[in-house]
Amino acid sequence: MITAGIDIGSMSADVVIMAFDDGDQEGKIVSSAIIPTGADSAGTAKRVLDKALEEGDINPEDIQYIISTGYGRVIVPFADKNITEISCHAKGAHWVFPSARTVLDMGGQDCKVVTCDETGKVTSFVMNDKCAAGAGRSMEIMARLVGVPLESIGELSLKIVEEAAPVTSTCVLFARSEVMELMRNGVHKEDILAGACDALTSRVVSLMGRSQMEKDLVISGGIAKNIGVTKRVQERLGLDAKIPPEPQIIGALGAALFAREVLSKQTERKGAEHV
Amino acid sequence: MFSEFEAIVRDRYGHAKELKERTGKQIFGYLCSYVPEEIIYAAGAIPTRILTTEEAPTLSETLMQTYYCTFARSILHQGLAGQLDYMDGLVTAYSCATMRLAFENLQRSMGLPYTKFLYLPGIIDTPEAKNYYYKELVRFKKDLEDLFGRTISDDDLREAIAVYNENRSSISELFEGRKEAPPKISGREAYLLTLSSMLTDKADHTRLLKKLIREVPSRESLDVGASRVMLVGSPVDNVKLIDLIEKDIGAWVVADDTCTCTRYACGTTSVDQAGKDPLRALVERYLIARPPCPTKHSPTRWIQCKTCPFRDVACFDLKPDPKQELPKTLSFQTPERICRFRHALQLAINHKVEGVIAVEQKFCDPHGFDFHHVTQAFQHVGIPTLFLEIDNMVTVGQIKTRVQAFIEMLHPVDYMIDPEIRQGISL
Amino acid sequence: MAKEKKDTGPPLKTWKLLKEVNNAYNIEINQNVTNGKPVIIGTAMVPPQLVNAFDAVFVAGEWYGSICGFTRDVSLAETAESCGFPHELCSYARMTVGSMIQDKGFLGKYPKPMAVMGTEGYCIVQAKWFEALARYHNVPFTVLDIAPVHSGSQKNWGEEAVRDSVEYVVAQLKDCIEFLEWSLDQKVQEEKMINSIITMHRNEVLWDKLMRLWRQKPSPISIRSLFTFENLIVSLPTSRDATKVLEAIIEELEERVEKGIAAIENEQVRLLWQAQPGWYLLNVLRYFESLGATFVASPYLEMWGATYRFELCKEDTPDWFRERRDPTNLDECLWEIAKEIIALEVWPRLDPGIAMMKKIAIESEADGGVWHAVRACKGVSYGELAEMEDIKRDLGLPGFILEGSPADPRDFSEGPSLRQIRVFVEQAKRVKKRREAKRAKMEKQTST
Repeated sequence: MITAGIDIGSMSADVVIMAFDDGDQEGKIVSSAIIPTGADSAGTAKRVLDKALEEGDINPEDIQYIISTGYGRVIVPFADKNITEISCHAKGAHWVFPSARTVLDMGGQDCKVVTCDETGKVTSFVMNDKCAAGAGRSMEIMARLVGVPLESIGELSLKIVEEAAPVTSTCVLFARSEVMELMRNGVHKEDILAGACDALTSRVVSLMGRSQMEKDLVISGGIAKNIGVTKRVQERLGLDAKIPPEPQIIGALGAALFAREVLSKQTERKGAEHV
Repeated sequence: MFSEFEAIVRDRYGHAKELKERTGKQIFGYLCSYVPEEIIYAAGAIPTRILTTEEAPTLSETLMQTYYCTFARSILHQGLAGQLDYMDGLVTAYSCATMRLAFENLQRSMGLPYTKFLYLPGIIDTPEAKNYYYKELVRFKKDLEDLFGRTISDDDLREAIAVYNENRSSISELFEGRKEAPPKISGREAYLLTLSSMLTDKADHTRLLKKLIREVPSRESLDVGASRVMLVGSPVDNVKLIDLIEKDIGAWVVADDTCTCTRYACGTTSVDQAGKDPLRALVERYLIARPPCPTKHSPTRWIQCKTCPFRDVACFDLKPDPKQELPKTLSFQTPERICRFRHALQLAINHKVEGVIAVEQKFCDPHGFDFHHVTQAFQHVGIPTLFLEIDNMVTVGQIKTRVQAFIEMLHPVDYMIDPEIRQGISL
Repeated sequence: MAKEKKDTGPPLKTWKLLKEVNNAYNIEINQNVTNGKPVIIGTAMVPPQLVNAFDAVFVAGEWYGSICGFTRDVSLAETAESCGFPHELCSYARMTVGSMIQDKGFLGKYPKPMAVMGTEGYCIVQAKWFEALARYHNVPFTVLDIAPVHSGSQKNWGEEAVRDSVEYVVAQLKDCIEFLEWSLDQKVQEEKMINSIITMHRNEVLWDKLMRLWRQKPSPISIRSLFTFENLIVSLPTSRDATKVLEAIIEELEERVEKGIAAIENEQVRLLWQAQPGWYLLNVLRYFESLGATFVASPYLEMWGATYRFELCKEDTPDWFRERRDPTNLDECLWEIAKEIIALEVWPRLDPGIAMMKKIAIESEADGGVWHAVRACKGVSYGELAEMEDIKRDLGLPGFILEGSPADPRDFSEGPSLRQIRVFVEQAKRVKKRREAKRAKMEKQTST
């Protein structure tokens, strides 16, 4: 059985294609792809799926079920069903780390804390506010303001020259002007980035406080690649987190796993009808 | 079956104007479900509630800061935009500073011949509070008598009370169908019933309800298998939110504790009491019989909790200390009114609710302060809650993700009904 | 932005005495955490005269929240938010709730109360917030419902309605006494209550005097100093120590006025201030001063005095309501307290509030006003926009909305705010020049 999960986020679109032998629930990832989300969501979905198919050398007809997730989940024309990224991240993280009980998903537009049980089923979740201050978009803005590539923010933010310059505003627009003020005052960019990472960390930690957090903690989503944030989050919470090798595809992975579940349920039902 | 009700809600201004022309009666706008409409009705005017629209409340911005809820700002916006010009009077009862500010600004800018701010006590179940509100209602009645140049007799009031009682009990009768599995009445339909009731002449509305009561038992049953959720919290008057839950995601809203639906329809005025003193009877209905808003308090509340069936599980963070005995001699101990937590818990249990969505109009203080305790209370009886922030312009994106994830959490994903089946349901 | 905290003028001699009294109060609360007198937490609208008729210490939640804000301990608010109290709620409330949950405050520990009292009036948070505290502590809780005496444009409103309100509050005060007797397991002390009320009357008269002195030209005291003196009239209005401090400061300021000593040098424009300050950043007020703008009056500070309150409801109330007598027995005490808190609740109504603001603007010869839009404080920033517009239109005075929060530094953006302040002060100076030129021209015309 071959299924696909497709996660249309605000910053990137990700696909995971999985193959399952008969009776196998584990399955294995046969291909995956990540591309930036374009203005045309449906087109992006098509492109990222094509990319994954090509890389895995898979025939499109072989994919038996596709589940879409992410904020653009309803605009994927070829998906059989959509499921929220909250359920998918828990599912995906649980597949990678069966000991996962809390998943911190830091995406481009928002940030979520999901707790799950030993089967990967969601037991509670919280999302940050509608604004993007607690999410990847703010990091992108910071990177642009300070003039460094997005990928290097984390490393740079750990090389503090003086003390971290506090970025207190909760609003991205306010934070923006605050950072500009700091730059005018000649504060080192490392310190500014440290302040920005601190601010993001505070938001995330305050969000974590709202859910009953259990170990193990898994960090997924694009920001999981930013060591400046993940390190600080772990320090502030006083625990080690598990970070998947490719944190960005966890949502798509969960969707592909759900696709198998739904498909086998349907096959079972059909089988029952035939008998 | 519900198209007449929906038409009233959709074209509320047009309906009010038509009503005014047809009956020749004055239309009084009101802002809060605590306004004793019966008095206005007895005076010969038709009270209609001002609800929000989806228009961005831009005109309110010069008078109310953006940290007041859009519920109030939308009301002010409509007034400033001339959309409420059909009104002949405006009445509110004190609920919160936000609504009061909207009222005062409308009062200043609309130039209406009559406006009234009823001081509704913040404590509602002491003899003093009842007495105070009674006097306030006497003054209100006097105002209307002066305005219309005629006395409002006790019989006039009794007649109005009967009209309102019949309407409320008809709605409650229909709401019984929400308990069934699957429900006989969807959440959207329930909201349409109460919202339209607020927007039209009660006697007309009751006639429509009676027809519905005959039709509903024979209607095809609604879809099986969807989750049963309950709404609690701030006023919800945009059925789009219910549509999102019921149509897009597939969960029935089978109960609610909001002042735009169940809280409005619950509790009738005692006819016995009305026989003696109708205004007294109205005080009892509005302060005691209806489920309270979180802005309403009781000095006996803490004592009441000691005898509450949910007392070990519900709204206190700590369990009551058994060493502290119930005081026997306190004169202000009059535990007659139901506490809002108990009311909500009972509704949830009676309606077999699986999940509770606590809706908060962004910046709504009364419900914002309650959320922590609401969550605790429902958690202890094993019902999960979702905190959902909304405004008048129900934006779909994140709200949908939150609600959908919540429903996915209540039910294993593969049992969720397919969208195609839901499309077939006529809502 | 200047960092020094002192006024540019000479230091206040009374400052030391004020510190002593404030510190003594802080220590008293602190000791109550472990032993000593029980604590009652309530809103600033709960009459302290009532609590002071018992052997108990009264902590006003707003004051406590403001001190939490002063310490800039954002973790308190974050704790409250993580427990489900949304960020949009009153920052005083979130700070206090966070302090309670963490059992951490500026005094070390949070002063756990024996009972909690809320009030219901123009601000519903003053009941909800304290209800949350009481539920959390699982301690007795009551609400005092403060009925209004305003008429607005209401018909059939007269002396009788005012009497109804006063009687309603008096009846509740009796319940409150019963409530306190029960929760504290003490009897009310009539003598103590009488003395508290007499002292409070005296302190309020002194506060009025202080407010009048503040308006003098040049202004002899800075608004920042007054915000520190405010605790005397919020937390300690029934204390004789407060009387001593107020008398001393008045004497000192009278001397300054006589000699023409300004608290802030360079008083180019005189401004009104409305609402609480951001307690975490009193230096923002200092920034105004460095630009040549001095604050000379504030309805928010004036409302603690009797003059302001009774003036505000003058048209709506009969003379007996505004008459103040020193009580001789418990019944008279309750009558006095009832009138007092009812008058305090009346202040944010639009029409009389705006009229009062205009009066203060004219009397204090103000050149403009600053309205602190205190995010999520619907009670205090009630009708600010209408007020500012009317003052602009009717008096030609420029106004400025400063966005912030009383206790949550995260809701204030320093950089942009300072820039806006600079622009506004420049504007106020220009408008003042124009008005002066116009006046001079008119005077010239009338003389010729």
